[in-house]
Amino acid sequence: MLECFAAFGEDDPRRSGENKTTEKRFTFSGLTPEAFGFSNQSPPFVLASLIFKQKVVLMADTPLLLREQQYHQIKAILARLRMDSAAKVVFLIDKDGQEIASQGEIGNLDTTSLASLAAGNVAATGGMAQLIGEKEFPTLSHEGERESIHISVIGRLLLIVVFDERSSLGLVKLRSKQVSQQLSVMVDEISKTEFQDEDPFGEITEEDIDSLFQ
Amino acid sequence: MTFINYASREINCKIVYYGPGLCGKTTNLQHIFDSTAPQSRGKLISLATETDRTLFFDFMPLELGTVRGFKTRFHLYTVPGQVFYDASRKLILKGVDGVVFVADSQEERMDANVESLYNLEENLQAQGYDLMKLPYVLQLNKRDLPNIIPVEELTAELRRKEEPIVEAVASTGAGVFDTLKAVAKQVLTELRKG
Repeated sequence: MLECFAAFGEDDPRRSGENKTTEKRFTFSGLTPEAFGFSNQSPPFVLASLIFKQKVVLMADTPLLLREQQYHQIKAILARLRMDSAAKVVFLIDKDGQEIASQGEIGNLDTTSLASLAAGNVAATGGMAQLIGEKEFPTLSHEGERESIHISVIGRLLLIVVFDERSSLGLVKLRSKQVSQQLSVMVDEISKTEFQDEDPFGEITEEDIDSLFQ
Repeated sequence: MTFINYASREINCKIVYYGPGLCGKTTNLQHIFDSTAPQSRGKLISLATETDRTLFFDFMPLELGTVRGFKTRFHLYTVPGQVFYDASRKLILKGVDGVVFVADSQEERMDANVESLYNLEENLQAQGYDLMKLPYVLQLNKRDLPNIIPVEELTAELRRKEEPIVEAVASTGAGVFDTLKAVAKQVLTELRKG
């Protein structure tokens, strides 16, 4: 599977003020292996498989570049968590509500809405935390009659576990905590990946944009 | 924050509809939801009070089409307009790519428009954004009502830069898609600029 995500983050030139760190933003000259920083020994389908590129403010305030191997590592961690916690679905999303990876019985689950609402949920409780002098609430749990949700905040990322009566909140909490540490270390490593200034959409024309609205 | 997913070849952008209470932000989204094919959009999620006032936000994912092989997906949000929900408004602006300010054209709502616009600028700043640099559209809504302020006057009072101004009647859908198009175009043009 070829995957690549990219995002404007804190270094987006549209932003200003104290949070702005640099005028650097990604540019991207095309889907060439070199542009992605892969060597030419790699097979072509791997070459184009830079999977994730995102500015994350976990450790240093530098962009995050997630490659295919790291993406699969994350998927493997999520799969393991799902198994160990007997959960239905496990998601990793970012705090703005964008889904990064998922594992489990997705079925007809509206993952886009779930990610957006989970991010809203964490943002709201984070706001409450600050009002009472806390930095944030690192975990949130919602227990229903049959289905429940547990959310862990890992820096800029959110780990969401959906589970039912086959599991328990205690088990999910325990396993999520173990995995959070693992993911945190991993994102730390990923944040050290060199960021290449590339532009994927430099060639989009006015006509391309207009064609969307015909 | 724009997300570009090369696996599913998708661009995801976040547009926020801002404006004073009862100006028609949710009505804009409702019209888009009602007028688009189910395969082009997701669910319209409304976190509202029992009296249908927005409590936290409305959310709707919308697929506009394909550009250079990439599906363009817009996540449309509204904020709660009522003054006392300011903390929620601030949170929703996080990661925004484009803003639509929905102004209520009625005379008696002019002060509310000005206050809300000031609040938008302030909340954007709090999130590290500058309205002058963001893709932005000013929508003058409720143009069908009798007690409205002339467009020139509203423009003089509310226009912040050279943003497109769209006259609208969100309840009938007039101007709703023109507004969306104007802001979406700016967001995509920003991507192109690199």
